[in-house]
Amino acid sequence: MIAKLLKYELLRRKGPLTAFAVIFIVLEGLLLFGLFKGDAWIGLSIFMTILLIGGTYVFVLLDPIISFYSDIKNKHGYMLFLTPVNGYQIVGSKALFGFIQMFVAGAILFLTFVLNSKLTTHLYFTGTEIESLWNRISHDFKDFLPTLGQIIQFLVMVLLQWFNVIMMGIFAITLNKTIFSDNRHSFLLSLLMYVFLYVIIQTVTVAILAPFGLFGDMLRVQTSNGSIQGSLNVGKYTTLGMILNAFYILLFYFLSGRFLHKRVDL
Amino acid sequence: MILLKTEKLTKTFGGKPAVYEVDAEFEAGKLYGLLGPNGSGKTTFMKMVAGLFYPTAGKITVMDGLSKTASKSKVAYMPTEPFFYDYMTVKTVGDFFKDFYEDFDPEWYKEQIEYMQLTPDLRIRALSSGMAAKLKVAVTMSRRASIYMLDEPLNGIDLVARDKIITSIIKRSAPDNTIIISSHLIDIMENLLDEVLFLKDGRTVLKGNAEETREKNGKSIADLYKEVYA
Repeated sequence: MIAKLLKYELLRRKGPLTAFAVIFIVLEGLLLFGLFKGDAWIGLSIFMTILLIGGTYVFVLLDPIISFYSDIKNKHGYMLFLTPVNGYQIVGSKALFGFIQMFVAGAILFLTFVLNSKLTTHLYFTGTEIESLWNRISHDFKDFLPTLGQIIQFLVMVLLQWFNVIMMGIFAITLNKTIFSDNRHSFLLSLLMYVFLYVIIQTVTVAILAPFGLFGDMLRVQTSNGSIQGSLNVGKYTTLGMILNAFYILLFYFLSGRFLHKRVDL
Repeated sequence: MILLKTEKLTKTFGGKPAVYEVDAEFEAGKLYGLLGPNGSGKTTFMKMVAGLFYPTAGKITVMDGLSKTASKSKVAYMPTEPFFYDYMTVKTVGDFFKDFYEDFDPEWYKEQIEYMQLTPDLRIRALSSGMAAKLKVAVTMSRRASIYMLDEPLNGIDLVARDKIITSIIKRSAPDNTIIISSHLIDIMENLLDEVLFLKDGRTVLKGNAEETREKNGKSIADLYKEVYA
């Protein structure tokens, strides 16, 4: 059933995804144009880079939330909610689609920037220049450069954190629909609930991290003059971040599915 | 055989009852009329049975006590509002139903859309309200469900299409299913109905066999309706 739900979610998102792809290609085209022209045009490339990252970030976060809101708010959602699937499967399919979309968009963005950086190197640097720059960075910042494992750990944590934002959005919408049902200001109320949930989650996170030395580490970062590597265990925070985000995702998934199945008037 | 039973079924919105303690049984092989003016609780009643609203109190038993999710595979509910995704075509609506409902009959659907003078490539966003109403009936009645619930199936329909919709409904009526229709158009529906259930302010005010009700009161269901809701 999840596969069928994903299939129709993809068909439904065909329009927005195509629009996003076209905008992405246009921005990347302008970025390349700036790179080839050089001089002051590099400013255009930098601006397009910011737009590509920012736009992709906003799209992957908002698109699944808007899709869920639209189904729960409008009558076309009956088509989905009348099918013999439960609330968990519906929320699961929306979340999974959002996760796949986020992963694919992130991968495309990454590949695009690998290609762009290779092109930049090819156009403006020689092989020896890059090599000597890299050697200098490796030497000067050897205490600060993360290992591949740390980078992967960090990326997984960021991915989970983004996904948590999507799940929190889905839960805020479900909670609003559960409490207020058909309210004219449902979007605003959902947004307020999201902010409220965000504050609670941040407070809980700080309370959980405090026994792990969060405040002491923050104080050391403020008074260290940049030489704290070795004494500050960054890995501890990425690991805790992954565990906490995974827990929040599961919690929001379970609560959204349960409310949708038992307590929501559509 | 009783396919659907409600016991003291109640739904309140902001403390005000939309449906209040409705006890009803719906038997196989019969066509029921759920009658009442706007705001009498017909749609709320149907939406609770379809699983779109949760009851504030009371109980709904579908067949042998199926779960909420399982009952959706036995109940074919047609809402009064258009409920298709805009991106779809008449064909993809059928594909969607085929994918999610095991009892969906694609051949029947094909016949129905031809009968309703619709074409598979028609886009949902391009349908007139009359065409959308015909499509709703076509796709709902293309399921071989145990319980059909049609909320105002004749709303916004011209005279010619009305006959087609009524024919389509009658064609699906069988000894192993029950059809529940809510409608304002009692004079048109009267001859179809085996049983009637009158709702007023969410409460049952009259229920029973249509023929017996007519004989007992010495008037038609349509006249009785006018009397109850005057």
